[in-house]
Amino acid sequence: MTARHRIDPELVERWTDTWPDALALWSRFTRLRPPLLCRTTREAKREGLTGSFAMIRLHDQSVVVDLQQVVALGLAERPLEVLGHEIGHHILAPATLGTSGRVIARMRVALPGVEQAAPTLANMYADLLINDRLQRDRGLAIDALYRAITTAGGTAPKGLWAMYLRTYEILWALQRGSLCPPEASGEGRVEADAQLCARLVRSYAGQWADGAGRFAALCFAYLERDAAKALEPSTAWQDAATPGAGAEAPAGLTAVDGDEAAGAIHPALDPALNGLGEGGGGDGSAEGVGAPVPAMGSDGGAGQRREPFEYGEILRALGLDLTGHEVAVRYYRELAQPHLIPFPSRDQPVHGETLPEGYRQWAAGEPLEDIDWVQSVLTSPVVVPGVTTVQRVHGVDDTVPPKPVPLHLDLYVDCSGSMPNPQLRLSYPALAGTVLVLSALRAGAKVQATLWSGARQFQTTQRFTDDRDTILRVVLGYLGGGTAFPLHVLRDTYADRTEHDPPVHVVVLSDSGITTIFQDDEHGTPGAEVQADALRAARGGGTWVLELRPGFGLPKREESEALGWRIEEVSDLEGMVAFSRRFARQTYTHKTPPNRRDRGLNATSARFGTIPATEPGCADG
Amino acid sequence: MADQVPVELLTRRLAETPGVFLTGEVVVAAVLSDVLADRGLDPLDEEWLAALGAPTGPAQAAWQRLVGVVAWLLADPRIGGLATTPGVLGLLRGDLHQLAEDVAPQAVVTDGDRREELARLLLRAIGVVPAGETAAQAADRLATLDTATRLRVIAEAREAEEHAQKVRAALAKKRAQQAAAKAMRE
Repeated sequence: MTARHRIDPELVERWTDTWPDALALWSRFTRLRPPLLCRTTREAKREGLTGSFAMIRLHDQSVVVDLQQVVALGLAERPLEVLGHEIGHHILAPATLGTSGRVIARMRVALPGVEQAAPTLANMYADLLINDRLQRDRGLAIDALYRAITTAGGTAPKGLWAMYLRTYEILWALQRGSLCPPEASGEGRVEADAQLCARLVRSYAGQWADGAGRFAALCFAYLERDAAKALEPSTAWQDAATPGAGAEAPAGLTAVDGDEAAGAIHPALDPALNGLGEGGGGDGSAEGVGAPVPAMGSDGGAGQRREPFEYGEILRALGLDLTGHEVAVRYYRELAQPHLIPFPSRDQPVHGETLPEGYRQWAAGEPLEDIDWVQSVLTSPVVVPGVTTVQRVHGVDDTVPPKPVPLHLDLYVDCSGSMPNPQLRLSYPALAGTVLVLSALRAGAKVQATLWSGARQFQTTQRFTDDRDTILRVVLGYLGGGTAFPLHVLRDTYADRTEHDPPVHVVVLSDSGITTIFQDDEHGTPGAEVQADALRAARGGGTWVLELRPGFGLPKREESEALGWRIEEVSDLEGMVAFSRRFARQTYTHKTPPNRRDRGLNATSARFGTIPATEPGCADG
Repeated sequence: MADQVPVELLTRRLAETPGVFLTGEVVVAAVLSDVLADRGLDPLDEEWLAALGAPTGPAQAAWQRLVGVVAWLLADPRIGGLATTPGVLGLLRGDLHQLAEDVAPQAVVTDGDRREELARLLLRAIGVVPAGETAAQAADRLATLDTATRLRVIAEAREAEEHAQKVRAALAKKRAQQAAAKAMRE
């Protein structure tokens, strides 16, 4: 559609003046920033509005209208309908980005193979709910907008669009043919689906997100048959298909809603909507009434997690422009949050305040500014330097308790070909690593992360840092090559470390590839020697977090433990939680193991903390 | 037109139907006879009185409850004043039997669409066009609400969907396996 209409200032003024009335349609307490009324399509494009004549943005709660398109469609005299509808997206559906994400997730389950249609369908479903309220309760002529859109489309409605328009006719008791030509509504299952759709809208008006899967299932056959063409006419008013553009990822989308899968059923198969009763028609069972009830086994998905790639697809469907890496960072951060643990710390003596303790004689040769002249004159009005001059003596308050200083974290993440790609599949070692990183940063520690695969295949933060995103970008990366532990990084990190540097806890996330840590380094130094030197210099102990196949016997386990490594196996969420608990408990109650003393390690190096151990799950949000 | 009444008048009265009409405690023959007599219409004959006597099964009981609800509508002079005995009995004899087969009696009180359907059925039976509508519009709206037609097309849709659902479930399973295999390879 080309829109080159000149926009009169009076039109802008009229639309601006209508805004308070449009807000009042929803509530007299509704407050939103004034709409962005773009006088040209180019201006609207700059605001991110393309294709449609209006849109919403959830991150700044704004409404954008392309007035040129509005005039081109013949809607210049419908400001209340258009603005009221857009406000409805902010107030009723989807209202928040989190709800929008949940709706898209539910729809995707019902759209195998055509999942990309979910945002547009979510937009159409929300429109149904908003429009029904505005037309029936507020008496607005929303049907006029659809007539204009259909006319501008130039082709007769068919398929999904015909079913959609026929639904409005049924909902608003409009004469058949007033929106959808009778020949289109008489085609195939359009009439039956529109009847079901109208019933769905009314039945789920109060819990609309729960009906999203059913609406998508209803539309699926049309999408399967007509592909992208099925959605074409709806794009003229696609005002909330990417509501999350520019926003932060909403929380809670890593979890699968309880009845997400059970809710993805065609309304014809839902006894609460089809009116046929459980036994179907013809059995004499009369049509029931009442609110829809959850399907059997509707809590089957409760507690389940999406895979990272699914989570990423939902975020992208919301309009968030994120790379796979950024998605992974958000995904593991959300999953890790409930499992954050108290991170180990070490008591460090703290210099107390300087206190005056008395006076002593100032002798010749000491700095002149040290003389306390008042006390010297009080002692003897006749000042004889070096004889009557005194200076103040200071002491330090040694009653100040030592301050717990968190151990730094040195994390080595195996991303060789045998490890799952954490950006595609939920990786429990990667989750454990994220828990440790976030816990460490929360405690004020710094972290060095190294992603490793084959020889010379590694990425590292190169230093201990507290930049969360930089660290997680390394931890959740993936190289997928051979397997060779980067001994040189471990060696070089601790080569010049002194007693004055903060102690470090070393953690390695890996699988059976951990055994490469015993290989010689490039100078021929045995791996065991490099490890022993590093752990000694780190002074904070070390942990291996391994995802091992069931029954896999880890070679050199005893030698590893003798070196000072604590070995943890994590292969599922329960294992991850158990690891977190053990890590916290052992960290706070663990005494130095004899074998570590035997190797001459600093006896205090394993006594990490002084804070009483607490259960994990005390996330600081 | 003086004969026109808004559908909302009937649907609102239906929503206010006393519960006793839906419990089977009302002697429907007596109530309907009294209502017709009050409106100055012909009384029920013996055959109708017998048909509205003690129900012989659940289907007849459901139908009698709907008859009671119709009597409640006719008791409003604005509605009953427009009725004729043959028109009312035509509804009881025909469409009301079909409705009783397809919907629970309480649905004509609690469900908005079913309220409107019964209201329109009664208006059509007594030859009244709802206010603000043409005869064609009224017929179209009633056709949209018609329970029997609706249940028939939905039953057909359900049958087709049951088959499609199985095909799609198999496809979805295959796709999921392929995606998992791809993820594992990567």
